[in-house]
Amino acid sequence: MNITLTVNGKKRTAEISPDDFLLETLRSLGFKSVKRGCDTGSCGLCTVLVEGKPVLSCSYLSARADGHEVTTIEGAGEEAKKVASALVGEGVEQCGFCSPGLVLSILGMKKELGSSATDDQIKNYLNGNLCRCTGYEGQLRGIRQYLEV
Amino acid sequence: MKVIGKSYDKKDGIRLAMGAPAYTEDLYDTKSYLTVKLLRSPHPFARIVSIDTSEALALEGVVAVYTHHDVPKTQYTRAGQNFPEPSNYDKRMLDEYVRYVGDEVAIIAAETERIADEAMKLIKVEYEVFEPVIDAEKAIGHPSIIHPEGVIENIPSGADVENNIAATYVLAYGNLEEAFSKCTHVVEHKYYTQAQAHVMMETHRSNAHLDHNDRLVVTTSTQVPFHARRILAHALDLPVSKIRVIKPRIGGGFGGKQALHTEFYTAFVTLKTGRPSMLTYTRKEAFESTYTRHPMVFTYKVGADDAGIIRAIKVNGISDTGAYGEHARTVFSAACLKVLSMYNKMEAFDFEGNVVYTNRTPGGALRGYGTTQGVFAIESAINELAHQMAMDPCRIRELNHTAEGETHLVYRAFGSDGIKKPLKLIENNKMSTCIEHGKKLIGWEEKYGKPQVNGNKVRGVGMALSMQGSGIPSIDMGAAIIKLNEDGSFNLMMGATDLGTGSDTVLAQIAAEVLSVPLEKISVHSSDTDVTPFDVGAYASSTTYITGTAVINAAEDIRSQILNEGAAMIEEAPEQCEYDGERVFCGEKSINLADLAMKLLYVKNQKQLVGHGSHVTEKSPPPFLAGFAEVEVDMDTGEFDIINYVASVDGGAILNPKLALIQMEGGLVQGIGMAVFEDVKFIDGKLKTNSLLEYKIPTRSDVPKITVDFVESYEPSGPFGGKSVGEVCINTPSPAIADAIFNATGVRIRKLPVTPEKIILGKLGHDV
Amino acid sequence: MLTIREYARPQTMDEAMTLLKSNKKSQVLGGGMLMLKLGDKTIDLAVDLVDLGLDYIKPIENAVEIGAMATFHSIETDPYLKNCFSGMWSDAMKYIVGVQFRNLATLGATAYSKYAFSDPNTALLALDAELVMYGDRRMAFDEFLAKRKRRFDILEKIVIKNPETTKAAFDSIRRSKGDFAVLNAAASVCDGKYRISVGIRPRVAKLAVGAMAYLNENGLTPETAKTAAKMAADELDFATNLRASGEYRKAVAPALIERVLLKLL
Repeated sequence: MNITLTVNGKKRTAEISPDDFLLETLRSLGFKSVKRGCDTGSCGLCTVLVEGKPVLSCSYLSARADGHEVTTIEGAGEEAKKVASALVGEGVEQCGFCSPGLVLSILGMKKELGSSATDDQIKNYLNGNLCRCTGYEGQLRGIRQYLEV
Repeated sequence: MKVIGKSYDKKDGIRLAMGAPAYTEDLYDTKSYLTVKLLRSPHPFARIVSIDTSEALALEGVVAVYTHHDVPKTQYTRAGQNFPEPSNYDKRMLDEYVRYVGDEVAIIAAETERIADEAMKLIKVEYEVFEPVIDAEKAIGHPSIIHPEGVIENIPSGADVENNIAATYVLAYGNLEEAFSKCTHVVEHKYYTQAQAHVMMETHRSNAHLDHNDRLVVTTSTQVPFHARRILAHALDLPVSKIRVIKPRIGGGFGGKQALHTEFYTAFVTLKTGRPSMLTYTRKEAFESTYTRHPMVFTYKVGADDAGIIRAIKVNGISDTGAYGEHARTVFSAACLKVLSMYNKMEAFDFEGNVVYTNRTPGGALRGYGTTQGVFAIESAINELAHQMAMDPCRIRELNHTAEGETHLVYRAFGSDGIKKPLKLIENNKMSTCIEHGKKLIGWEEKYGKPQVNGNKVRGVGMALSMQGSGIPSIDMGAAIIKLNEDGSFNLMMGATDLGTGSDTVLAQIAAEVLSVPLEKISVHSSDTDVTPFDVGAYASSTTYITGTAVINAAEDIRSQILNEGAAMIEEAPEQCEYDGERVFCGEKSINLADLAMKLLYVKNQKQLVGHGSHVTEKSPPPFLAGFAEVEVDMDTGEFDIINYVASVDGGAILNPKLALIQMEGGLVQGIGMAVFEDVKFIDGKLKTNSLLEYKIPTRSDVPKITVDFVESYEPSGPFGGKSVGEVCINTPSPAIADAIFNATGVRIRKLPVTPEKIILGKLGHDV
Repeated sequence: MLTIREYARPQTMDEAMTLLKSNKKSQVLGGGMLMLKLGDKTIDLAVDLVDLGLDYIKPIENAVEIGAMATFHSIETDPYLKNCFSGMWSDAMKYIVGVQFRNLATLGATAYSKYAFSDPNTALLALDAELVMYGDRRMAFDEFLAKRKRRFDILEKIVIKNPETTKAAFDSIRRSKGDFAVLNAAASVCDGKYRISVGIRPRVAKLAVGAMAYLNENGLTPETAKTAAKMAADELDFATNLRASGEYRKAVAPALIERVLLKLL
C-alpha cells in the first residue's frame, strides 16, 4: 500500500507493506540516523518525534503514520545541534549509536518539562534511552548544561 | 604541553550525534545487495542427518542456500588474536554437528529480508539429537563429547576433547602445604561469576562486495580488522592480498567484536554468487549466537598469619567456554595472572583449572577479560578473610598488595606452557594512594564496621581492588603513518580501532603534540587494511599505550624530515635550524610549514614526506584501581540502592581527561550491571535471556552517584606517561558491592549477580 | 515476526466492528503494537482504532472516562488525573521503559489483553473500574479478568468511579528500573471500603478479598495494615518465573502490601 507522510517538513510517499514499521520505512527513505538497537521496543535508539512527541519508530506502524508528521534528527534543526553539542562537550557521544534517539527525546523532554526539570525527572523521562558506553552520568551533565543555557 | 592532557571533543562527536550515516548498515546499496540470513539450530547438541533446501531454493527471490556440504571444511578460531592464535581451531563455517542452540545450520542469500525469512522456514532439517552438556561442573567425563573430531591447537593448551576440556591452565610456586601451615586464619569458599552479555548498542554486522580489481572488500563492525583479514583468508582459502577489511564507525564492542561473526557468511556468499551481500545480526542473534563473558567457578583457599600477611593461596577454577573455545585459555590465564599478582607477600600459591566445553552459547572476550571473574573471587575471599580476622578490609589490602617498585610471584613461577617468565618490577604503581583517596571519598573510617540502621533500612560499605594490563607484552603491535599535506596539515593513518572510545582523537592529540601543531591540523583515517598500517585492534587496553607510542615514533620521524627539508629550503644546515610547529627557522631565515609543504609537493625538492612508526613493548604496565561501594538495604524486601560508588584509579598520565572520565564511568556502570542487574540465563540449554526485554542492562535511573578520582602517575614506557583505564574500571563493583551487602545485612552472596531475592533467601538460610 | 495482510482505519465504531466481523483472522490494533509485534502472528485484517478519537480522559459525574486509546503518558501527565486517586497513576506508570514507550502503550490495550506483567492492571484492579465494550456493554474489571473474552469485541473506554474521593496507592519491587516488576501491589479506599490487589505473582493481578473484608470491618491503622498485609499474602498464590522465585514473592509480599496500605493513611 502507499502512504504519504510529512518527514522533517517535506511530504514523502512510500510504498509499504501493512506490517512495515516506521523504522524500516524511514531508513528506506534515506533517514539513516534512525537506528535499530533491539527487537522488543526496549532500547529507545529508534526514537523519532511524531507530531513533536517521542515514540519508538520500531513499534509504530508505517500505515498508522500515514498523514502524520514525523521528525528525525536530520530535520530537528538548530535546537538539536545545541543538544548534541552539549553532549559532545561532555564527551558522552561515544559510539554515537544511541545519540540521535537521545537527542530527539531530550527535545521532547524540554518541551514538556521545561528547563527546570529535576535530575530525577530527567532520568525518568529518558529512562527508555539505553546507553552502554557512557554510564549516563556524563549525559546528565551535558543535559544540565543544555537546559541551563 | 599544548594538546596532551586537554579535554578535546571527539573529532567525530558532533556529526555522529547528529545522525551521520557512518555505520556499516548505512553504507551499502540496499537494493543491489543480497540479504544474508542464517538458519540456526534449535537443539543444544545434535548432528545434522539430512538437510533439504530445495523448497527454499524454489522460492522467488532466493539466490542461494548453502549447507555444510557447500562450505570449506577448514577449522579455525573466530577469536581476534595475534597469530598463531592461542585459541583452539574448533569452529567451521557450517558443520555437520551443531553444538548449541543458535549454532549456524544454513546460509540463505535472498533479494530481501522478507524473502530470506520466508526461505528459512522452508528448509527441512533432520537432526540426531544428543544429550547436551549443560553444567560446566559436570562437563569433564560427560558421555557426550562436544568436539568428537578433535580440535587444532596452535599453542599447546592442554586441550583434551575426549573430556570436553578446551584448555588447562596451571601456575604454581612454592610449597603450599608449608605456607598454609604458617597460617592461623584460613578461609575456603566457592565463588560463581555469571555469563554477561556485551549489549553493545549496534549488533554485529558486515557487508561484502567484489571491487573493480576483483578483490573481496568486507566492511564490518569489528574491533580487529587485521585479524579479520587473516582469519577470513584462512577460512576461505584465499590469499590475504585478495582481501580488504574496512571498519567504519561502529556502535560499541566491549570485546564482543574482538572476533569474527558475520564476516564469514557475507564473504562466502559474495565470493560464490559474485553479488554484494549484507548480514545484520538481530539482537536475539547477538545474545544467542555471538558470545558472552565466560562464566567461572573458583574455589579460593586463602591463608594469613596473625599479623594479617597472606601467605598462601590455592585456587581451583572452571571456566565455561561453551560450544567453541574462542579466547578460552587467555581469558582463564588472565583470571590468574592479573589477579594473583595484586598480592605479593605470599610464599606459595597454586592456580589450577580447566576451561571446559559445554553446549551453550560460547564464551569470549568481554571487557576485563577473565580478570573480572578472578577479581570477584579473590577480593571476595580476602574480604571474607578480613572479616574472619576482624580486620579492616582496607588494612589487609594495605598489608599485602604489591607496591611500587616491587615484583610479584607469578613472574617467578613456571607456567604450564613451560615459558619462564622474567622477573618484572612494577615501577609505576599508585595503588596505595588509590586506597587512601578512595577511603576518604566514601567516608570509610566513619562508615566501616558501623552499619547505620534507619527503621528497616541498613547501610553498609565494601571495597575491592583491581589491576589490569596495558596491552599484551611482546605480542601486541601497533603502527602509524603520517603524511604532510600542502597546507601544513597532516593525515594520520593507523590500523587502530576506534569503537566509539575516541581513540582516533586521542591518538591525533599525541601526533599534534609531537608535531607542535593544533589538533585541527591532524586528520585521521583508521582501520582500513589497504590504507592503514597494521594494528592488533582494540583490546587488552592497548590502543593508547601501544599505538600511542607508534604514533609518537611516526610523528618524530616526519618531524625530523620537516626539519631537514625546511633547512634545505632556507639553505641552512639542519643542525642550525629549529622547527616549532609553525615554521623551520635559523636566525632571521625561516619558512613556514604550509609554505614548505606546498613547495615540497609542487615547486622545489619535490617529495612526499611520510613518517612511519611501529611499536611493540616488553611491558604491560598495569593500571591500578580501588573501588568502594556504599549500599542501603531494605531488610524486609531485600531491595537495595547503591548510594555511592567511588573509584580511585592510577591509569598513568591522562591524555584526555574528559574521555578518560567517560571510559571510567561507562566501565563502572557495566561493572555494576554485572554485579547487580545482568544475568545470562539458560534453561535446559536454551537461552531465556535472549532479548532486551529479559536481559537488563542498567538504565539511567539505576545508576548510583559515581565518583571517579584519577591518581595521576607517570609511566615512562607509555606515551606521555600514559597507561590505560579502559578495562580495569569494570572489575571492582561485583566484590565491593557484595561485601557492602554483607556488612549491612550479614548475608554473604558468592554467586553473582547480587539480588534482593538472594538477600532474603540468604537470610532464610539458603546458599547464595 | 508479525505479518499483516491488510490494514484498515475505520472512522466510526460501527465501521470498526463491521470490518472486524468481516474476517475470521482479523485483529484490533488498539495499543502501541509493542506486545503484538513480539509474537509470530499473521493478521489477515488489522483494524486500527487510531482515528476513532478514543484518546480522551474525561471527567463525568462521580467518575472519569479514559478512552481505550489514551496512552500511559497522557494518563500520567493529565492535569485532572494528577489530583485524583492520590496521584497514584503516575506511580503506576513511571517505571515502564521510557516516555517514547509510554506515548504508544494504552491503558485500554493493557487492560483488554489482561497482561500479567503490567503495573497499570494491578492499579486498575484496586479501583472501582469497569470496561465498556462496543454497544455499551459494561463489565467490572475483576469480572473481565476472570471471564473469557468475546471473539469480536472492541473496547471503547474504561470508566473509573469516584476519582476525587478515592484514596489510592501503588508500589512495586523491581530490580532494574527499566524492567518489569517482580511483584506489585495497589490499594484504594472510598467511603470506608477497601480494595487490595497484588500482581505479577507472576500471574495477573488478583484481589485479596479476605484482607479487604478485614479492613472494611476494622478500618486502617498501622497495626491493621500489618495484619491485612499478612492476610493478603497468605490468601494469594505465588509462583516462580525467570525474574523471581515463588518463595521470594511470598516472603516479601507482606512488606510490599503493608507499604502500599500505609500510603493510604
